[in-house]
Amino acid sequence: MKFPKKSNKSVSYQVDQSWHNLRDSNVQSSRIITFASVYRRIRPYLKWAMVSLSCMAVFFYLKDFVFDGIASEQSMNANNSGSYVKRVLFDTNGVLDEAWLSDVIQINRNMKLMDINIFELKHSLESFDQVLEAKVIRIFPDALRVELNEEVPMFKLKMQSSEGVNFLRCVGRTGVVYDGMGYTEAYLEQLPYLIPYRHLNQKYLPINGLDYVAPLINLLKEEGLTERIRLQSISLENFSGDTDFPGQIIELKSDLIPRILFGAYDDYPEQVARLNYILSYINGSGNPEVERVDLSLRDSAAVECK
Amino acid sequence: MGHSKIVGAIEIGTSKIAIIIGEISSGTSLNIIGNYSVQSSGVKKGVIEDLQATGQIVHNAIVQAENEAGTEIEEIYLAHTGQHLAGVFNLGTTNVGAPNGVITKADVEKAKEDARRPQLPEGRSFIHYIQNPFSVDGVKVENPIHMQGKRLQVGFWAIHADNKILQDSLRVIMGIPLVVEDVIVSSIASGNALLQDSEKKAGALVIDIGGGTTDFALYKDGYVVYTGVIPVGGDHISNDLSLGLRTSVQLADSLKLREGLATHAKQNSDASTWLVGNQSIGDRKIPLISVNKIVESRIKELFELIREELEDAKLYNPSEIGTGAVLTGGTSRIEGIEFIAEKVFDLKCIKGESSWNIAKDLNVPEYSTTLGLLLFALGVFEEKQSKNTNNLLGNLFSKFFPKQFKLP
Repeated sequence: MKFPKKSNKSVSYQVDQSWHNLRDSNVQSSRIITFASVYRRIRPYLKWAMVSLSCMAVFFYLKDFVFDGIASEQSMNANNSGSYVKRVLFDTNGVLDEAWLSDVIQINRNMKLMDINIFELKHSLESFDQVLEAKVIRIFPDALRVELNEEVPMFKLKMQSSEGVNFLRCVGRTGVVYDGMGYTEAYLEQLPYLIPYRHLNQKYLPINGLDYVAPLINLLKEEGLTERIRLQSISLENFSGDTDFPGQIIELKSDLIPRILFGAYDDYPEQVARLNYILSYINGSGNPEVERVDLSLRDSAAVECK
Repeated sequence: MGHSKIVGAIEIGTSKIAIIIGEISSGTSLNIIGNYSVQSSGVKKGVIEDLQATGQIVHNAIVQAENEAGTEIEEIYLAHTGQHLAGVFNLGTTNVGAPNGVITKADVEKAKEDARRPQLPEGRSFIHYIQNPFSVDGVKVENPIHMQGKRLQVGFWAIHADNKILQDSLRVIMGIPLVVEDVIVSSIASGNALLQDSEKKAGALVIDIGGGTTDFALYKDGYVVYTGVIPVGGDHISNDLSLGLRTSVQLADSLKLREGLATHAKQNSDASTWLVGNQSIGDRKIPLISVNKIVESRIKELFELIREELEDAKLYNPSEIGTGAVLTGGTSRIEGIEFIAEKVFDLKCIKGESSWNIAKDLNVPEYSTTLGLLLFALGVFEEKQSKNTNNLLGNLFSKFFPKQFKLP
């Protein structure tokens, strides 16, 4: 706003005995200090301090969370990719051991962790029939973890090579036939033999329907009947694996009773209970020699003595 | 291109502390950019009695005003009042030196020097030294140089203050810390805001009725010829009302502002008002005539005191005060106060209002002193600028015409 010029004839006196002398003399040292005056004095510095703090906050944020984050990630990658495998941690729910693992996968201390193709390793491990599932995990900075889920053998299968050499194979509950590495002879000894179903192409493999057989065997084991009858083998000659077909028979051969026939139905507990009863009856009847027990008759069971 | 300056103007009054911040730019333009007003504390009759309490409020007010303005004050002007202020008229006389009687600059300086000769007693300092018109052989003149005469006289109206009281005000302001650029007596500051130069020339009596004191300044021929401070203000009216109506000073003060009428002549004798105003418990009806009788008599007494002082100084002549009396300050809000002043002073009286186009909340009597301070600062700024311009022209002149070069 423009104000018209005004004459200041009320001149401020600035010579002798002027109030200016008071201002310039001892007033400075005895001035009144209050909180507001201190605040006003430091206010410019506070502003700068606030600005500096904000800048510092932004700087450290960028440094710690942006640039350093990127750098550390890069360096971590660089470090990790640069670090060599020092340990292989192995874990399995079966019998395979580190010796087997070292034969299967070739990992040495000259290999860098990031250079290992864990997917390839997984596939190569899972290519073994004994291994149902394999997990291969990098444990930074320098370890590789291998976890296996192994097949549990239900049966053993006697096979013969083209050269006429007999050899044993294990059969898992899914019907897979595999070498069965790592099992002790005693363990293999107690496994019953499997006489597999002969397919239309006259071949035994693949073995179908073991997922129906396995529950039966497990139930017998639970009841202690496999030891009682001294189970020798399971014959699937009359069991194609397809329960929709009529007359599907699972035949057990044992020392006590040469032939025990189970129907491939869903009434295993009843059939096992009948077997249990029959065995008790036989035992109570002076252990007569029994040739065959047929439990596949649904509502009844047939016992054929010698 | 002229630079700008942030200037503050502060009045530490008995009832309130007012501060205005202005930006003086390009030498002639003043923008008011912030203001703040707060109830005072620790001040009695214009004199600071509790430095810490007053300092606290003053400093807070300055910070608040600065916050509103969004900038910091660079220099501050302080309005000062109090009964400790005193004025003295010093007359300087010299005989014209030249044989032909033509007055020269040296004669003028000699007369001024003579006027400045009187010394103040210990413990007092001059605030203003206001030059009055020259007179050549008893005839008043504006500028005596080149005139002929035998005797040259010049008078100065000098206002001086008690060092300790003035120092206290300075200590409060300088604590913030701000350097007080100048101290101006409140009545002169108010006159600066309310009067045009032509009104000053016609003669005017400015009366600033504050809470604790009443400041007045008499202008004649455009010059301040007398200033005074009466230790009576609006608080005294409130105090008398509280005694007369047997109520608290706060209630009496609000009643004064709400219902106060400086003349009871036109008052209906049956009219009454409520003491508190909200008819709450304890509120009671009071005849308005008794309120206004108290108000009128106190104001009349106040004006009579001013008139007596001016008469004692032999300066009271209504015919020389053409503009009349101009009333300002918070207490001048009382309705009808100008009619009492007219009666007492035998002058035309008006309530002062700044003629500048400023914000409505600033164009009130409470801010006239601080507004006057800012206008004073503007004048100082203009003078400094014109001096600088003159120096610049002088430097340019001396560059083209060096000293050894003799002008024809």
